[in-house]
Amino acid sequence: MTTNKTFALLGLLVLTACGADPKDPPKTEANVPPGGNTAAISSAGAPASGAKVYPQATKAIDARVGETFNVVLPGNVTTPFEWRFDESDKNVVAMTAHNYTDAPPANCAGCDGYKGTFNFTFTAKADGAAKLHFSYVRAMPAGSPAEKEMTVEVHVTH
Amino acid sequence: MRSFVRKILMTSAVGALFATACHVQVGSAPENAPAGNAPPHAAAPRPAPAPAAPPPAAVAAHPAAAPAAPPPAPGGARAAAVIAVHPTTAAHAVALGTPPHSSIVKPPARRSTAPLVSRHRQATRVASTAEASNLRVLQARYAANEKAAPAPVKTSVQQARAAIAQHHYSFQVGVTEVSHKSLAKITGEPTTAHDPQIVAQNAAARAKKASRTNLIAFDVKKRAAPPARFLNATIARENAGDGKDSSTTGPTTQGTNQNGNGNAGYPSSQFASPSASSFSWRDRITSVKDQGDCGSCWAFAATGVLEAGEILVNNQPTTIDLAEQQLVNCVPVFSPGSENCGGNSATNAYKFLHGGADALESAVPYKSAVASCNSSAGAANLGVDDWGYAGEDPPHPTVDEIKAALIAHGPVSSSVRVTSAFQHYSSGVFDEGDTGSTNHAVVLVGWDDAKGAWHLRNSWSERWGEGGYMWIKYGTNSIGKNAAWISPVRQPPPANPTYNDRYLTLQNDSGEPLDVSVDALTGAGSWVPAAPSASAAAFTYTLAPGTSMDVKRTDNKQFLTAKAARVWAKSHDGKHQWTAFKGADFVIAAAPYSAERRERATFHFGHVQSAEQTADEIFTIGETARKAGDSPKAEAAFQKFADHYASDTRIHDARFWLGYSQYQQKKYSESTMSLYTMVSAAPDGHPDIPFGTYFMAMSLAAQGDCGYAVRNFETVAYGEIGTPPDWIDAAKNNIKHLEADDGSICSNWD
Repeated sequence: MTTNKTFALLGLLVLTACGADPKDPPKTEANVPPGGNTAAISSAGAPASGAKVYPQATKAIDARVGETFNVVLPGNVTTPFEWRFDESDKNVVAMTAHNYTDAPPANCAGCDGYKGTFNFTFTAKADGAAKLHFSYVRAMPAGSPAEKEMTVEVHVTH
Repeated sequence: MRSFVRKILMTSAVGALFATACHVQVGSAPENAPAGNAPPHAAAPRPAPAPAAPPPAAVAAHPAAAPAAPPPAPGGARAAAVIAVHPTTAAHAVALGTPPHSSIVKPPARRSTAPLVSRHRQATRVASTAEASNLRVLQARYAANEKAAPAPVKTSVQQARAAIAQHHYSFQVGVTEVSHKSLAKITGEPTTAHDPQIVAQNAAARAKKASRTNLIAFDVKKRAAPPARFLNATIARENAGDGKDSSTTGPTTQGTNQNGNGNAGYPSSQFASPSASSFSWRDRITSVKDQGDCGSCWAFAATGVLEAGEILVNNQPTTIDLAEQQLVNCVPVFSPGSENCGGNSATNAYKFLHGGADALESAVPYKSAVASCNSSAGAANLGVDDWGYAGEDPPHPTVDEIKAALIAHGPVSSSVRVTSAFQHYSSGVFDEGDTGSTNHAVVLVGWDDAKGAWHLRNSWSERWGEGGYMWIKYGTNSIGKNAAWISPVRQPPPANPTYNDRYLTLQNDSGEPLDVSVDALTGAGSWVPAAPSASAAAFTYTLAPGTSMDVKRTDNKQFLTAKAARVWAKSHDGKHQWTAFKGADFVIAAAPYSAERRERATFHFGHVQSAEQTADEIFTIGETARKAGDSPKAEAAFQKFADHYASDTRIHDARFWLGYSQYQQKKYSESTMSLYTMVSAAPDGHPDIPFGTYFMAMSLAAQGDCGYAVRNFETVAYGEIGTPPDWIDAAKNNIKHLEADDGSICSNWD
């Protein structure tokens, strides 16, 4: 049952993420300046084109109510692991979409196992502070312990 | 099984040397064998491949019966003893005559298209009026596009039209909105099919086709085994003893789970079969691995395929564990700036392993990260002898082409598009249908047409999916793309043991019940039960006419093994005696020999007759009759040849024509056994094997044994055993024909 719900959620999220050309080469976190970069993600279903992008090293984010921003975490969907968003105060910050973007190396004809990014899109809802907690876990079986964790503090103001 | 074959041959070979009571050294030709090796039938054409579905015939009399005993010689009988050696040994001892198959008559085989046409009709859909209208609008737009298109685009479309005309394709092309874009741009993937390196690789692979490892070719003799009812009598006799050192294996059947762990929800089969509705190697390969947090799926896929090859081809245990880390460390990166935890390809690993070698996991444990390469860690012989893409048009083989590769070579590596949904798969048939670029490498181990799915082995541990496996719908998420097989470097077979004795079989073709006595000189050099003398004790037996027996010691019930023996007998009525070897040694093993199993020698009690005809004369009679269409006469001649000249270089040809002439007479049961004997006894690679297998399949089909027939047709079609192309087509058509049978032909699908 849990798995089915997960599939349904994933399917919904993927659908909402469509729109950009999925074959365009994605940008990497190395291109993302501290504090976010509105041009960083333009690829595969990046849910909020034009939104600020925050890389893995981000510790804190300042956002205004109504603003959409992205947290982009390096990963590899061809391994058993995924980045998962665990919790937040939905009244302050809510996740509106997430997806995965391939990042194949150059001349990758026929290569497999290349890396990518897990992209999470949030919208600041109201004044306040919230913690965004991400964990790097095996997708299956459910309940696998986290291999890595990451927390970002978000401060939302008008 | 081999013992059974040997038994048949022993039985048929015993008449070879009636003229003289002699013993024949192992491996030597009979004294009256022809001096030359050139077969007189050098230009003999093979019959054309006949379509399946001959009219069902009643099963004829059991064909395993020994040839009729020759008529009694005038003036009573005298001892006649023959050692008939293991047929393989004998065959290797002489140069083999090679029939010229280039002259085979190959009229077009009848096509069994009815089922295919039927399916096609079901799939055909009549376009609606709205669709037709839309089509007209599109065609007008494409025509306008073409007028305005630059010259290169026009040229490209014209070339495509020429190809369509040449190949009689049923679709049209025009200048669309993407005609000016590169295929790589449209699809997101470079066109690896036209990569010169891949094209060259496939050309080279095809050139090596005849010599590379093929699992079906490995199994030709086992796969040829007819239904148990053909074999029961002989096997029952062979198993009547204590079974010690018995080479009898009995008939094999489909559906056997190799590890004996029952049906775990996936199909398994002892005999791989491309036309089977379901099949999986899962029970016969290594356990699922875990690549961890490193993009090394390609190394795990390549290693999994190589491990399977080591098991299936080199008889390594399923616990063999090769080092993915060695590939991660040592395979050249895919492109400058990339690293092997960030992607590569299984085929790059095959290129590395072709001429190189993998290491054992114990030598280079997996680290889930790139480390420095220690090329000297590679273990001898753990490499790839050959590899290639499945199908004729990589990287997108058809389902049937992947099945054929799976059967011929074992599990294959494949690319697939992995998504979050894929990551969360737990059970069922995965059919997401994501059309994104492939990004993951896996191993395909089987299929299930009922599910419409491949059986996929992943490298995410047994905690993912169905114990580490997934059922994935044919084609979904591009599964099957880049499917590639390997043939591992062949390990030298283990050395055969050496024996200095043989089992002894007594054969009574005298026409009379006999009381037989035996003293035997064991391999250890002692006589049992006592050294020969006028008053010494002997093992004694009663032997009914027309029977044979594998001699057991009457003191300890073990099969008798001996390097020499004294053998004598008298008829129950006391009128006839066989005493030639009462006072002289009957030599069973003149010298130590090396063999897979201890061989058997047959002492034959028969009537005396002179060799009325030479091998050449008998063979010529058979050839003449065969060419004249006189199948009964051909059968008689080739049967006689097989009975009397089992060590002749033409024996496999004779057995083929014997079986074929029986087939022509609708003596399907006899034909099956004659051809099975031929296929089983002929050495690997013998040019008659494809033809013998084909007509054996025909005979089996005629008797309704369609499972066995299809298995043999598959050997002909997919075994890469030197079958001419027309025969391959005929075999494939016959498979389709039988599979579409409504019950009018087939009564047994075991």
